[in-house]
Amino acid sequence: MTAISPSRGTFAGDLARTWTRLYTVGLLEPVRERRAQELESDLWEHESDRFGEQTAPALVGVEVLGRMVRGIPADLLWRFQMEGPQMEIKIPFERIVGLMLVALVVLIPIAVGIDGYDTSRDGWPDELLRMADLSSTATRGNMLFQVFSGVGLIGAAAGFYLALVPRAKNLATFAAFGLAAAGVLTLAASAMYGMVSTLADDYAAGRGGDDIIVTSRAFALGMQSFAGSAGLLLVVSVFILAYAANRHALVPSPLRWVAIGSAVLFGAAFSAEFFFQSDTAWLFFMSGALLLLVWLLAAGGSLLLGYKGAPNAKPALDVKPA
Amino acid sequence: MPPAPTKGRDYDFRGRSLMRRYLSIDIGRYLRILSNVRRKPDSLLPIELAILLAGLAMKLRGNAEFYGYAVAKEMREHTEARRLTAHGTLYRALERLEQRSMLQSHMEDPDIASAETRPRRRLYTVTALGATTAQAAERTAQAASLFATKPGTATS
Repeated sequence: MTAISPSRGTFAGDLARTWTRLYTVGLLEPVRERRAQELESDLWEHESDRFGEQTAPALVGVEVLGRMVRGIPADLLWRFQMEGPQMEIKIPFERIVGLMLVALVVLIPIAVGIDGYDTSRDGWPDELLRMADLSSTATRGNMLFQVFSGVGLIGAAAGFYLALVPRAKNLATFAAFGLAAAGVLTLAASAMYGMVSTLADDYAAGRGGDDIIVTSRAFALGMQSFAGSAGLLLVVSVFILAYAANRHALVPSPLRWVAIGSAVLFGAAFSAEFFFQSDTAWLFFMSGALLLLVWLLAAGGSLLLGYKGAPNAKPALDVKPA
Repeated sequence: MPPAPTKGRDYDFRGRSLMRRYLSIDIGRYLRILSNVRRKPDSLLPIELAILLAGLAMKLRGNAEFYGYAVAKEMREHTEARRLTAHGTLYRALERLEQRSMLQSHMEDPDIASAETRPRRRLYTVTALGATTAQAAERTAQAASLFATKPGTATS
């Protein structure tokens, strides 16, 4: 082993070494070695040369860092050219499913968040005035989020279908249909929100009377029913996904109790609302929704992190060819 | 040998094996344009010409072989630049010139590096092809600059 006198070394030098290891990762060892040797020699010569001139270490570090940063485009181009036509990124479908499950944690609350306006005959005029008080930026922002959520749900539906159809054709079809329908309903609800918002501005400006109240309330009722239907479809779709994931050992099996707990709470909310007219329905409903989001986050996270299936389960993720 | 089973959890509803499935993005396919860009055999990029001229200048001073940092320093002095050439730019250009047989390289004898207690250098030499190409390119550049400054041709 060659004894190399330690140059005083800079943090920037360590950064340059790390960057070189990073952009050469996966290449043949002689190619990596050549780049690393050239850089090592260059750093040593540079630091020795400048330290010999009594240059401040901080300044030498800045010089090294500058050379590294300015060379990054050339490094990347070099790497792409080294890879040539065979450069291929392979993302396992399971990770994509995991990512989409986590994405649903964001998309679902936005999709159903449009609900919650007081659409009663007496309360609606005040609600209209409150909507008119919202700035146009806030209104456009709300609509943008809803459109993003609707399109995201349709995209997630296509992704889930493609990823799961080889394992569970029927379940994948039902879940994808539910998600896509929820996405379309969210887009429709978003368009209605835009209409109601415009009518609210007209009402607040005194451009119309009862006609505006009646028309806007009709749109608001439609918007709420669309959002509610989207929410119902989303809950059902997630339960189908949970069933499929558990059946094919895609996620840790204890997670099924989270999904079952959520289903029980939704059932309790339904019973409390329709059979007992109890005020606890809302509490049950929110707890069920929260558990469902917990399932999405845990299941998506485990897939994203590369969960390989339960030890005694069939190898659903990494099946060897026959 | 028994036939492979076509039913069960390891197979899809069409009896196909559920081998690991990937979303495959073939980046190389879109980057072929980079490797398909053809240059004239004797054309040199400014950085390549600077490296060859710096190497020839060092050769004239008795250093037939040069290494990365030394040529970067020589280029800075030759061009009166303020900064040294970036690592990525320099070593990519050196590799390109070597691939085009304008430079040759080899690793330094480990004993020499060990005696000087420093990492081994990769030593480069300008080949005859590199020298003639650089000289021709320099002549062309000088002629172009003469033409540009010739009285009567200036645009000012």
